Amino acid sequence: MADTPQAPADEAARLEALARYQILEAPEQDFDDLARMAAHVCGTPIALVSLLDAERERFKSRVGWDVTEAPRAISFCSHAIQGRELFVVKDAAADPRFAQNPLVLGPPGIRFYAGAQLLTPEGHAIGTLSVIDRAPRELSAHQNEVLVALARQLIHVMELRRRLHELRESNSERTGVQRALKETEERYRDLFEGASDLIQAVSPDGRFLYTNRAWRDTLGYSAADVGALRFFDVIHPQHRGEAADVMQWVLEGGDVDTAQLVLVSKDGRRIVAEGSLSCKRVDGQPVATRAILRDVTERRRTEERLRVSEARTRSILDNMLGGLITLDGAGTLESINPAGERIFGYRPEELVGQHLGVLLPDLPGQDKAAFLKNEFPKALGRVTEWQGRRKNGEAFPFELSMFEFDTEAGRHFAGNVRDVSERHEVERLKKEFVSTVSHELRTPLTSIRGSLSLLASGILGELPSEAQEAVSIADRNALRLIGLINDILDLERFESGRIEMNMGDVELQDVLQRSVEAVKGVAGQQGIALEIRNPGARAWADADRLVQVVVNLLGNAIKFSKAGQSVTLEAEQKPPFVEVRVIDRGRGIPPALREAVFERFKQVETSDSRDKGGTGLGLAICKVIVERHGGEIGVLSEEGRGSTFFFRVPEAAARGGQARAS
Amino acid sequence: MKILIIDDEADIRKIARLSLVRVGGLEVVEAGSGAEGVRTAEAERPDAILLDVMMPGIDGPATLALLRAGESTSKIPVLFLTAKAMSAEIDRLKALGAVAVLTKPFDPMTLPAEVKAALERPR
Repeated sequence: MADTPQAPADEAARLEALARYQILEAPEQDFDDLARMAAHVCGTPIALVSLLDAERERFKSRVGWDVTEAPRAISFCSHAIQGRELFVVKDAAADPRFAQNPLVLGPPGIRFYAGAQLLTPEGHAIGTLSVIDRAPRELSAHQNEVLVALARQLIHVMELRRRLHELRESNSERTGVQRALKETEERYRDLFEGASDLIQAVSPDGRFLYTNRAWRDTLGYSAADVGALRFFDVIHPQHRGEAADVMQWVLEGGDVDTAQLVLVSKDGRRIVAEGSLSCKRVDGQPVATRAILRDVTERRRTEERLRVSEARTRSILDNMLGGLITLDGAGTLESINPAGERIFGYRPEELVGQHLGVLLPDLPGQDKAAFLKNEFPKALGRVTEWQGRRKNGEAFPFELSMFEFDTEAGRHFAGNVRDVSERHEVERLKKEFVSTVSHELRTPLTSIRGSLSLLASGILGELPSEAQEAVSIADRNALRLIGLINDILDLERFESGRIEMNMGDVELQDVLQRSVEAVKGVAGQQGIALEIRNPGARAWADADRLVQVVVNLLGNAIKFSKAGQSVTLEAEQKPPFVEVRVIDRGRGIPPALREAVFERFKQVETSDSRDKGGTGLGLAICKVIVERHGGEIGVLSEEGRGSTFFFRVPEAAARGGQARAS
Repeated sequence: MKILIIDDEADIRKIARLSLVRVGGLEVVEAGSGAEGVRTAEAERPDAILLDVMMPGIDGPATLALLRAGESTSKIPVLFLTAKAMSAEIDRLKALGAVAVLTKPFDPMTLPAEVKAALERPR
């Protein structure tokens, strides 16, 4: 077996150095020339340039022997690299290290070997330049010298090549970086140019070094315009001071994250921009202030409008006299305005978060939450009256009307709250007052009217005819005054709802006959005929009140008819109503006054109340009475041809059906 | 026939007196208050009493109760005179036991007839 030397001490570094040359795989023409020179100078048939890696000896250049590699175990080179002297084997067959070597016993049949180490500048032997002969021999000193020199040349070439290679690598790297740099720059330029933010770079003397498209579009300048522009040209005149302050700060080294600059566009529009500013420095000297700004004009305007609108809403809520509460779906108070807090006697914010139930008195034997759940919906969309409880425990009546609204947070309710305790008190006083007036006016009128009546009757002695006339006038007017008082009181009582309606199934025939009975004396005196047309209608009404209405309408009809004319009284079933019509053939009512006649103290001519008597309240009372029945009243008229007053009240059948249904 | 008029208003008493005496030919005594009215009724034993409803002190209904409580006056028919013409009020007064409720202002020419008619109505 051939003798295999240990790997040299610097093996790892040696292999690393070898790898650096990176020429192991490629045949090299230059090396072949050197190998040929070695064979020629030494007079050997074979010359080899070998590089020795971990496993093999690779022949990078071969002269006289055409193999590419040999296992390291049998290689002469592995021996040669152990030392730094020229390694010479005079006769391999006689040398115990090589006598059994296949390369000695077989082809190429080595007997003589001389190898010069290829030493890197760091001193590692990465291979050999060797000359081989098939017969034992020796080299002259000159030949030795040349072989070592050629080996040095060889490593020198390799070293040059390595450096060249490295240089190329670094060159190609550099151009790559430049290309990448260019791409990056384009990308950034694209980003800046296409950004929706306003981007600018301004030199310390105020010239624009860069502006992007959004900047130019927003401010209305072309790229050509920008060259002549100075920074303060685009700052709104009223805001140049603050802009100067910001620029100064940035130039002195401060960064600003949220500056606001008020700009002005080429066509004079005011633009509020907000963003960040920083300063670029070279060798500590500022060369540009860079700003990335966003046009917030519209946002600011919207914010301002919102602020104004909110302030207005808040002001309305805070100052309105009515209470306003909002609740969530579970009845928890979300907000209450100052008026609401005053009504319930709480301090601001005390009520928020509490359940609505806290505003109501305790209900004996009833769960407040359950009560609210049942009763609450009744307040939706209409005015309802509730008993409330103030913080001090005082109970009081309030009106509540609710509406629903939805927000992102779900369903809410809002309610208008009105303290009606004062109104209740006023109503009570009014009722008392009316009652008092009723008594206090009637008592003196009783005396006046009684006295006049007795005087006029002559029972207290005959009066001179002029005195008689005067007394009659006084008597007639006292009577009118009494009628007026009665009408005012009636109207007030109807309107306040204090007259109870005695509703029932009413035969219209009865009503019409009673009414005619009441006026037929007057009608007869004035020569006016009355006729009734009624097929037997029946209403759901208060019979006495209907008589009051019909008498009133008949009275008017008679008053405005001439002797010889007739007044017709008709009733007709017009489901679900009964319609009653009083038709005269008098002077009629001008169109403009047809609505007004139902208002108080509205007579067709101002002279009417004097000439025709009446208080001016009759039709107003009729209207109130009919409306209390759930009906309506109106008039059709043709001037000079007469008028038809009609009213409708629910028919008995409709009401009866309703009653049965409920 | 003797009628007692109880009313705190002297003018009303005077008109009623004129009416009942001069138009109706009746005899009249007067009282200006409920208390005086009760004493007069006991002393005079009128055939009927015209009683004002609203009076200071003892008002009409209270006077009526006193009259009903008095042995000599309990059977005397009473007619209320009221300035409140509402039907509910009239019903309430009738329920107290008055034979009639006459409203102010009354017509002096018809008052005696109304009084007589009320007294003649079967009770």
